[in-house]
Amino acid sequence: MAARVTFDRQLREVRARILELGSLTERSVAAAASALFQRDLALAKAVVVGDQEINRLRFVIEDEITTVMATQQPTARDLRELVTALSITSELERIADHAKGIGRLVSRLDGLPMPADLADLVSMAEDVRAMLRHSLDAYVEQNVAEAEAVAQGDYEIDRRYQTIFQTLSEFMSVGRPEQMAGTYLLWVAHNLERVGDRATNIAERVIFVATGRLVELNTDQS
Amino acid sequence: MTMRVVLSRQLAEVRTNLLDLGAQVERALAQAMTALVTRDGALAQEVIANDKRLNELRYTIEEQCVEIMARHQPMARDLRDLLTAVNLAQELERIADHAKGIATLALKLQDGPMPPDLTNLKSMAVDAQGILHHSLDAYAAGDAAMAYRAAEEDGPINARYDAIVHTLLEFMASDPTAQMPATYLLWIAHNIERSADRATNIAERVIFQVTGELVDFGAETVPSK
Repeated sequence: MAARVTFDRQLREVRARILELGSLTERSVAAAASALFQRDLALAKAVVVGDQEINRLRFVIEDEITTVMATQQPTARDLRELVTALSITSELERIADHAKGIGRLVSRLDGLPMPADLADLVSMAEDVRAMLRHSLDAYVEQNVAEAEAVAQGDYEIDRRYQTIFQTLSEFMSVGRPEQMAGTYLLWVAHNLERVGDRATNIAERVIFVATGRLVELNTDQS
Repeated sequence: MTMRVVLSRQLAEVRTNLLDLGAQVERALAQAMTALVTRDGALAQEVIANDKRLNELRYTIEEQCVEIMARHQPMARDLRDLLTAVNLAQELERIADHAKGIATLALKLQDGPMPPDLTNLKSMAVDAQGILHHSLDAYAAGDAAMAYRAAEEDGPINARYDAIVHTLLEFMASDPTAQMPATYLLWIAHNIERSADRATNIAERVIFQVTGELVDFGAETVPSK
């Protein structure tokens, strides 16, 4: 088989694995959010344990990519694509870490009071999941417009975060258990916000590979 | 000149650029905090303006690495060095974004009430800068043990975050106009915490570069209690 054909096949395999990692990660974020809202401790534990499989898959992908780099003599263009694949793999693995973080916080929240209204947090969880999905779609389809739309979501999330803090600060003034619960929920929001942030990083990468254009879609919070 | 000599020279150039980026990012972080604490708007503007240059430097490093890979098709250790450089450049650039985030918030905090005591926030920033500095030292020295020590410094940061939330709640309770400033200060705490997290990523990468061992100190965010 010609080297080019081998290379293209390997690249397709790498992409397929990244999508597998992406869907595991998406599922983990979704499960962490339901564990929180339904106060489901067993599900929260499953998220924490499931993270090991995600870490393992990440190492497998990194290994595959570096093997392709070392054995297939890729061109500069191919290398850019492979560097992108590496970067997306590491973002996904860290997104899964945030899901695990939420899983742990659900255990800490056991027995503590919860605010009556978690609507903002629920919406935030939905928003970041959508951003993650869109950023992965944009990667698969090399779709720049979709990648750019991911960034718009990030502004929404920053705004929502502010509302959550203000709502929680009232709840936290009630008493010591409320203050603890409120702090944990802030950490949950913080983890969610970072999922959105990392989804945006993936989108930036997609734009860079497709257009060679350096964009900075998010990051500084203000 | 043999290809090997050319490659070594180019790898050395990448390292120099990366350490230069690292030093500039450290400075940006320190300046952003100074701008906040001394309410120095001009300094905050300077940090914001300078961020563009750091973004460019990051992509320059990445392109250098890709060109070296394409030209020399390096194997094993050289390839790992190059991938480490790409990765570190990315983490450093994002820390610079957090510095810019702090500076942007410092501008919003130029007037209006401030909590009487910013000790925890300042200490958190000093800790984050320490992790970054030690991670970069570990990279410069190619020293895995040093990188391990740097990564382990991350522990106290999350405990400090809880103390900061507590201070901010008291601040809001004491002053009805404090809600927005308190929100901004919470964002600043997040930017600092994330810088520390990314500095820890750098240490992890250095360990991988030196030993080939992938360790995960964990990016998940939970309080350390």
